[in-house]
Amino acid sequence: MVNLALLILGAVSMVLPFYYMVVTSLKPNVEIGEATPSFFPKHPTIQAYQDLLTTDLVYRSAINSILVATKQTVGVLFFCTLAGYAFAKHRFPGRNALFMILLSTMMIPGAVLLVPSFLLYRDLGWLDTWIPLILPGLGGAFGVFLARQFIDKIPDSLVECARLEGCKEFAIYWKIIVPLSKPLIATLGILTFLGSWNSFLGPLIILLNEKLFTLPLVVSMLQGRFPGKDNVQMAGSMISIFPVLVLFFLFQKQVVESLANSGLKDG
Amino acid sequence: MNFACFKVKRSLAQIILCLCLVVISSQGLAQTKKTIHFWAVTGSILDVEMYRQLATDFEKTSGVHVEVTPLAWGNFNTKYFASMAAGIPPDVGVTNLGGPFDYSSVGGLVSFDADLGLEGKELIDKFDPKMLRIFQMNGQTYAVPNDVSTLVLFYRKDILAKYELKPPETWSELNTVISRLEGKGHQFFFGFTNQSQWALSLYTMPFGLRGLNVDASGKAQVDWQKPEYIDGVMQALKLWQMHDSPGRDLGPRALGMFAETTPGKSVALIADQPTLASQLHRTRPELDSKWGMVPWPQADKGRPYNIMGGTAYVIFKRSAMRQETFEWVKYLNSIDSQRKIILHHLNRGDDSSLVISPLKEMWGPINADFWQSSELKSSANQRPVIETVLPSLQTIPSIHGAVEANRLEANLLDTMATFIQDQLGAEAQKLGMSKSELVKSWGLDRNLKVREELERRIRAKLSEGYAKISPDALKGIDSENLRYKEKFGDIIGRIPELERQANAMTFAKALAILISLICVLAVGLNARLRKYWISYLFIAVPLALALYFVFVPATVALYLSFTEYHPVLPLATANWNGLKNYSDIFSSGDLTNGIMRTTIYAAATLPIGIILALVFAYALNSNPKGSRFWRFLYFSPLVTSVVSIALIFSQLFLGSKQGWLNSLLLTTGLVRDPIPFLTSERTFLYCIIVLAIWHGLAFTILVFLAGFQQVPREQFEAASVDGANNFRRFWNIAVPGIRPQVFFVSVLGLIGSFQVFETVFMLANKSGDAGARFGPNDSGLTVVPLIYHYGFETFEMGKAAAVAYVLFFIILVITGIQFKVYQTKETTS
Repeated sequence: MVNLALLILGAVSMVLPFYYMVVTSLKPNVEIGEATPSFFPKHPTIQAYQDLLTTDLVYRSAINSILVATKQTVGVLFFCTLAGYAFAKHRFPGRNALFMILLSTMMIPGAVLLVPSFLLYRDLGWLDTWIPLILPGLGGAFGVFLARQFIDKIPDSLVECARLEGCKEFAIYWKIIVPLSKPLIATLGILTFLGSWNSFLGPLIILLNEKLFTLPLVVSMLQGRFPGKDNVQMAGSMISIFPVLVLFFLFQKQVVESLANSGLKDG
Repeated sequence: MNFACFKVKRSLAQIILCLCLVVISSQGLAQTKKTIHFWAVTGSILDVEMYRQLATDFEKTSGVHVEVTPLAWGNFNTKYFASMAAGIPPDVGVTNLGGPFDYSSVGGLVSFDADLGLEGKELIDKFDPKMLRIFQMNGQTYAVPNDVSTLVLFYRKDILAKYELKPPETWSELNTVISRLEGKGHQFFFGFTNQSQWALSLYTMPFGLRGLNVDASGKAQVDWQKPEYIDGVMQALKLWQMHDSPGRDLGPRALGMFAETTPGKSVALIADQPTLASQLHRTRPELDSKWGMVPWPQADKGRPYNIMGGTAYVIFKRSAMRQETFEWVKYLNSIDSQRKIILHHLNRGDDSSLVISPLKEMWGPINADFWQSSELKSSANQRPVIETVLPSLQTIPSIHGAVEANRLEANLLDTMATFIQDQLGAEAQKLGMSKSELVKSWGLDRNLKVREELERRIRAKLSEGYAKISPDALKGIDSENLRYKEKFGDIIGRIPELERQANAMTFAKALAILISLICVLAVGLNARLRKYWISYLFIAVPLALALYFVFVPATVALYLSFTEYHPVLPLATANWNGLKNYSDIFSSGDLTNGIMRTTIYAAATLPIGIILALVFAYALNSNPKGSRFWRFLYFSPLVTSVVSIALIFSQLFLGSKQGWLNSLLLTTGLVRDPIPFLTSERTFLYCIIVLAIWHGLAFTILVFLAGFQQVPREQFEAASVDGANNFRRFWNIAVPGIRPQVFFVSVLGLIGSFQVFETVFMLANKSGDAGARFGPNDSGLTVVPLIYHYGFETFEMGKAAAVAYVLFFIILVITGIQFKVYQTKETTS
């Protein structure tokens, strides 16, 4: 009984902000202007969504976010599992040293790189492009680490057999390792996608042109673009949160497992 | 088999090619049409539409296409500087009134006098010289005003008439009128200049006094301690803090309350919001006969002075199409375009406003018929008011190096706000009232002694505050000016040459390339290593990326942390200054304060988050019915972005009765006055903490749940048999069972705490408000925000890098301790 009461209490406080978002996004402008706030829209309307979508800003940024996140996820999955495979199953001189060097990059907090990365991308002419959001993260140490841990558990005998049959290394990776690494690919894929989808600080300093903006940037701008228009701001939040929530509802098990497995979460 | 391998090789090549294409394709294609890039800082997306319409007309006559890009108010300065630093600024931009000064000081802007010949001078002459002061530096004009705004007062005629009150003409009358209205239970609303440091000149300039000055010899002066200056600021503080005002940024709520007549719900008087009149007419036509508008009251013994803000056009030096760009600026400043702009603004529904055109001609006899036209009917009662204000509109010259001084003053105002609210609260409590009841009693001429005494104390505190910060402000401006002279004196002319010079980045990159070459050669030439070439190939990409995008920038950051460097200049100008950055960030108190705030944040977030997570994870672990559903509810914050969540919370935390949280607290009687959650230095950080706990809970619960799965069920069952109650089972079995997870979450949380950024950024409204800092009195300026502040707000890259390295060191220590503890555990168990 106590447990259930606790559960309900907790759930209410977890859901309240979402409830506020939904309810406010459905209020007409007049109700936002009311002297005392109502906890339910008297005349629900999608006016706020229409106001928000008068420009293609939100729509385009959502597409941008999908593009950036997809490109990065595909790249990360490929390069990290490939390197993870080499680190797990190949014996070569300097293997451990190189792995440690790679891992040491995880020690450097992203904020340390904020300023010099900005200068580096500037010198490379990459400011105001998506390259800095995609390319540098393609071989992330965390991904390689995760992949190595997982692939390590695949029996050596499978790899050996294939080698004896004359299979080339890339074929082993592509035909044996990748098919056996589906849980790894799910985990790493979800984490990478979520990380990219939600990232803010990088895009904030790198992107200048609104046409390239990702969704979090546009959501952050709503405060300035629609000052005091809570309903439109909340409609923007809805658009950025709702699709992920639906996906989460459908793939809850996988997401939860992958997060629990990883033991790490990107900001 | 050979064939298969060929296929594999081909598919490998295809994948790599695809990835390359994917990356390259995001660069976009170059445009071939003659195009001007035009960035506009704007609070309304409808401006973009307007500029696009104007651009279409311009293109018809000139053949030049204008690409319009809007910028958000909160970020525009960073964006302009970043674009200048990157060498890709737009051709022309709209920015705030003071901005052009900053950009021109680093050589970014075209001078209208010197670079554009006679035509440039002609354009400048279209404006009142008093309006141009803020754009001038060393006798050159670097911008022309675009849209200026000024304070006005909106009042409900019927309500004022009911109490036999006249619309106020002086500040003291204003205070009296507000007070009388409050006595009757009405409120007064002050919009976005409320509590803004940059709005102070409104109160001090009527006495001809600016806080910061530079005399003819270039010596800085800080006049904050002059009694007249303090008088002006006191007026501001009284209006901002000592009335029953529902806080700033209410948006449409202010309009809603203006339509109310019920005491306790209505605001009878609105200051600020120059756009309001047209909105009122559009959205509340039934009020048309009931409201009036008067100019902002004048100082009791001062001269008329009025301007509160606005925007300006600037042309960037790098523009390859200077003449075409200038044509566009001239086009925008033609009578024809100005008329279009005014009409467009008037027909924007909820966003309608009357643009105060800065062009002299627009208000002159030549344009009289325009103002008579039927389309302008909705603004009929605004124009006369604005026309009376026009002669007093003026700007004040910018002071170089005043960024830090302004920050000091802004922080003082925030402390004063807290002080006044505290004092009000204490006095009210003594009398057994709420703050608003106390304010109301003043309107009924009661407790006036209390107010008098209170004002005396506020003034003393204010003088004390200014005395404390004045020397620092003076020192800051002086050293900034000196630095500027030494550093920029000859640099601006030599930029192209300096850009070609080798710099730290060149060396770091060369080193990285050298290392990669050595690696490739080693593998290629050494027979022993060559055997393993495929393994090296497989790991090459992550290692190369780590080398180029982590180690190179990390090395450059280390070097930068020992230099002084402004990002708009070539990297070769970075000056070695030893440990000065490190000593500066510590001695200024910024870093120690930042670490302090971060520690408070961590000390509150971690334990509360862990305890709550333990409880909820335990409850979830008991496998209630519909556990999938429960888990969905609890875990949903996991996938949502911090930015969106922070946007939601920033509304929940609204500091007036209209906010949900305050509304809840007031109706349950937990508080007597609404809490200014996000505008008080006392509560701001706690809002961040609440948000962090809420957002982090899901992950912690998740980890704990996974831990509980490993605690054998029999232990719980055995305990039940022994008669242990629910709490005992939780405390004696569940919690000890997941000790490793608690440890893991704490370390991770601690490291995460030091990296908090997005929530502070959003809750401080930094993306929406041009003057926003990281929380009132910098109360949210934790470590990463501090890096951002130095790097992208004051453009002291050296200091930013130094803070970053201190952060690196802190995280290194935390990780080291974690590793040690972990090792001891391994050996003991």
